[in-house]
Amino acid sequence: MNLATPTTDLLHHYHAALLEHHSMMTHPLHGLSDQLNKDFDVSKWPTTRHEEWKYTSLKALSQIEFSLEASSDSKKLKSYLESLPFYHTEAHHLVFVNGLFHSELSRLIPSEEKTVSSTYVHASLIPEQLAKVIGISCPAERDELRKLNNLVLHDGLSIQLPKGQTATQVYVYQLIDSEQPFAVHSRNLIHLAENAECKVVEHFAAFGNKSHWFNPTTEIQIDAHARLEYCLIQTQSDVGFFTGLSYLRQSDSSQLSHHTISTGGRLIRNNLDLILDGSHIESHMNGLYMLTNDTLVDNHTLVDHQRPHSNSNEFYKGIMDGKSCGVFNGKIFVRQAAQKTNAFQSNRNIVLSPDASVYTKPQLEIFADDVKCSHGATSGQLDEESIFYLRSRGLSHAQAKALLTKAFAGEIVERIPQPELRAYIEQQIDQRF
Amino acid sequence: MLSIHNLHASIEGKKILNGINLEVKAGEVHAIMGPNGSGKSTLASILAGREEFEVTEGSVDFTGKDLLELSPEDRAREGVFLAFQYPVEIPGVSTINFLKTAINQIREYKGEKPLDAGTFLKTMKEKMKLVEIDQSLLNRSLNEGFSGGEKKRNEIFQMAMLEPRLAILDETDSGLDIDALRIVANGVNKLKNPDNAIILVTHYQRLLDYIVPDHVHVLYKGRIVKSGGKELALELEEKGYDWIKTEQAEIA
Amino acid sequence: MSKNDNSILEEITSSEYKYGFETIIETDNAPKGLSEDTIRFISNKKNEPEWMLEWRLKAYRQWLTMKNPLWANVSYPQIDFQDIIYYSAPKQKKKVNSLDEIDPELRKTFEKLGISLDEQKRLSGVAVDAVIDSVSVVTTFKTKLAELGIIFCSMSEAVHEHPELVRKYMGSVVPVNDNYFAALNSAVFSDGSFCYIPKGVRCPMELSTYFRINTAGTGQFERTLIVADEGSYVSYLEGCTAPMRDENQLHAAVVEIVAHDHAEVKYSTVQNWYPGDKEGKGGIYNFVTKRGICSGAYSKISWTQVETGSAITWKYPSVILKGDHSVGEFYSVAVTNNRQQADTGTKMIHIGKHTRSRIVSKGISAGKSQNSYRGLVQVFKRAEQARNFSQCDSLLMGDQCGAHTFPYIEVNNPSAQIEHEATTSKIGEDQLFYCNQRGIDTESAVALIVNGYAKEVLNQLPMEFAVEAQKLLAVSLEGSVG
Repeated sequence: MNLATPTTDLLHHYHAALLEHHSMMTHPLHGLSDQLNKDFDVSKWPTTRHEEWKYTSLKALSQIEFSLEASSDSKKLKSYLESLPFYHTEAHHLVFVNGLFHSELSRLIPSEEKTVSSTYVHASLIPEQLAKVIGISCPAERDELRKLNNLVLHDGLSIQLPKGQTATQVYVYQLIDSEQPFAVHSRNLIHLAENAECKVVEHFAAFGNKSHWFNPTTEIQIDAHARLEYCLIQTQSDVGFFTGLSYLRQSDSSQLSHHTISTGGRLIRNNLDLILDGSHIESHMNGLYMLTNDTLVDNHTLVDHQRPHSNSNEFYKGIMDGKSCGVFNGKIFVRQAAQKTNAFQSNRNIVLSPDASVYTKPQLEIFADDVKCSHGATSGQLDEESIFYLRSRGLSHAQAKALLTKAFAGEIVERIPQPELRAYIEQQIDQRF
Repeated sequence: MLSIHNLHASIEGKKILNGINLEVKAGEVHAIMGPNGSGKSTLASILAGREEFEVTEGSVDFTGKDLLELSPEDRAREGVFLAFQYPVEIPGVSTINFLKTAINQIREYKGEKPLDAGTFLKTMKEKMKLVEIDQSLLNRSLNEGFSGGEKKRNEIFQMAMLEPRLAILDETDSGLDIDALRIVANGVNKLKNPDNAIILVTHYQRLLDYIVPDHVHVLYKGRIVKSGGKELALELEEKGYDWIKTEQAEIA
Repeated sequence: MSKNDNSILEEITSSEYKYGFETIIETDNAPKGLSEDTIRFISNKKNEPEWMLEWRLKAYRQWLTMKNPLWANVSYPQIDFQDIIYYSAPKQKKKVNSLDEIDPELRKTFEKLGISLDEQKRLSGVAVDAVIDSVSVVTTFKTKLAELGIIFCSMSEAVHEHPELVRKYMGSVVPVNDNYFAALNSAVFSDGSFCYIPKGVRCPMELSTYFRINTAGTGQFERTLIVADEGSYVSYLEGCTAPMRDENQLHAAVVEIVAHDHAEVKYSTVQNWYPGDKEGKGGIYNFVTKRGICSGAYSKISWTQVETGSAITWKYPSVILKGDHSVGEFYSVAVTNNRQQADTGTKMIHIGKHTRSRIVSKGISAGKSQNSYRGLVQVFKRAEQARNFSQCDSLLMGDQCGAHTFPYIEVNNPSAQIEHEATTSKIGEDQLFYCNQRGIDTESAVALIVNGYAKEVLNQLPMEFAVEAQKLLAVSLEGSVG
């Protein structure tokens, strides 16, 4: 393809290098990934001319020369992990460094080997299980980012839970530690069979001052009456890029709570697709994003009600400081068959600095009449009246602002079930305000 | 006036009424009591023509007409009024506008000319006093943001305006404090006359302290199992519904 | 839905479009098709000065380089711009000097539409500019308004009589190259109304333009310009109808409003173009650009629209809030039934400090129609203390239609307070039963509930229009309930 322009030249080279790299060896997911679309076309790279990328420019990302090699320092990683309160809990702890499973730092529960492990391990252990999940997001694949992920398929989390089973809590750590700019295109594959249950926390972090990029795809199938709790924590630095897709398909009477917490990164783009392919489903999506400096966070969510009698509830909050920009795009689809749907969505933003901005686009597309749908979006400052009230009780202006900001964030944080995780997020918020 | 004969009804295949027989004459007040789920509100709904319920057997005669054959609006036009247990909210439509539409449609049905604005207003002012309702409330959207008591008072106000031949009050006392209950009951008493009849559907006896019934019926499992005078209500209050349940169990 | 309701629905949705007749009058038409010659033909017909022709040609050349926008949530076959007549005028023997000289056929047409051109017969003071196809046939109350210094005339006349005002303001709010249809309009616009309210004058009567498409195969491209000078006030009404035809006819209008310091303009539209038949055959493509600028401090522009007609509606009456403390409002009821498609909403562009905007949009979808709200609230960096409140509600009737909401909110100033709310609902069975129980039949109950739902918007209309609009809503929708 000769359509590459100077701004995408490096991408073009990166892609070529990836192709060459992969041609030299057999991929661990070989045989499972055949149907995935890997026809990356640099001329179709998203730009702000695309409606879906209107406020989010990937230009900076495409100007980084990503390396295919990375070296890491286990000692440093270990001390980092030990600083995390939840790393010490009794649970599965899967640590991935630069796209590969790190067995030394990981702790798995051997008796659950067949249900919770890395994708690469499950690919050789239970390939027929993975085959059921891998590629379920294909029909929704909309951009070149996913194709790069399909091509690389770094290691990630695999949960394959049979009927009625409950897995022990799972913590996943996706880490990048590299002297050169490096990108991880991890793939998570999760299938909860009927009435199965589990809780997952996925944590993203990177080290060093070199640019890095997480580009994960997560595919999740939740069968009837199964229950999943999934929390995504993004704590990158100002040289970190994140572009991810989480694609979840839910069946009858299943339950989902999904949380996305973004506290740092130069550019974060989260796509969350929720396909409600059943009745009596209960889905909750919560999000909290708080950025500062010259950064951007963009949450794109899609809730697709395909069948009657399901409920979805979405609540995203943003706190924008510095020169940061918060984008929210929430689309709710209610198909003709999805009568008696209840779908609620709310996006609230606080702008703390004169240079910060908020772009929000809540969207409803309704094709059924007997439904209750609503969305709301707000942008504003902290309530002056409340600040005054607190000051009249002796708090300083800064203290009052911090307290109210934390209270604003608290509404999302309190929905996270794991106390260790809540403590960690609260600590992150405390450091900021 | 109203004659219910062997009425059976069900909803989604579940039987709710199992052969109701009831005679209501002009000038009478009947109270229908019974434990929760006995079918009291179903009976009220069926008389008003709610379509979710299926009448499987029996007949209802209202002033010589087959009530079950009539559409809900024609029943209303014939003079059947239901005071709802949960009055519905209609945003943007004031009570006044709503009632004007209703009255004029009823008049049209009877072959009468629409009421002129002056007469309507005059009647309204009179009836407002009956239920101690404020005009500002009537200018607001129908039942929207009304308190429980205001909603119930508004129901009785509408009853006063429409002057029905048969008024069915479905748990009008529920959710009312003692003052509101007194106001509502006074309103009803003032509307009572030898030409109309009232059916009170209630769980508790306390409403009957204010509106004295001529007949009391106890509904249990979709059937009237006991009828009597006003003293029956007092007996129920004292002994509770378990008394009826035990008695019925013994018969069975 | 009960059988009973279904049959009412059938009955009502099949009710005939009341304004679908055609007036047989002789017309003077341009040949079909679009070229520089067509534009010269139009300009020549109107005896326009050179600068006007140049303006048109410039617009046409721009248009040639532009593409038909496809982002709206509507679909229609490609428009053949060479298959349209761009100019059609009723033949009049000579220039009309008084109302008595109007062709009686035309007079009858407007009387049939309920628009009296007779000043004496009008009960309330509404001055009318009556536009049929490409030209304005008459403007009433001109002399009375002139006494106050108010200019109210057809655009053609304004080009001749007030060239300095037209040259100053035309294209100042909607630039020639603003969008595809605005460029097309700039090239071929035929007539429309012009209105200027001088400093400090409160216009004592409603000004109104009535648009009528009559001739087959024509497009209507009117252009309206309203300028409210410092401290003035005007309320402006716009109505429109068209005959029933199997073909689709294009209507691409431009409306520009300028409000100076402390001026206020209220613009109300009751849009009732022919919507096409039940199967979606025929009907008007209504692609309209309406925009106002609050250029002065404390100025206010308020758009109110009741949209019930047209096969396709594509319009976003907007306000640029440039003056500090200026106010923009948008109140809309959009009804779609059968196969109609509407993509409508507004843009509120906050540039000045302490600017405020309010958006109330009520969509009603029935039949197999698609109804979209699309809106933008944009707060510029310097727009300190900007405020916006938006409420976008959708009401669905039946499970064959769609309701869509696409609000864009862009905030670049931390002191802005922006609130957006949207809900979707249907007419509840319980609401209908409650009405029935009070003796109101289902058909009237639906009309009552829909009017209640739209009340906040209808309340914004001048009295005379509000009554008309209520009836229109009832006719478009009664009984279409699921």
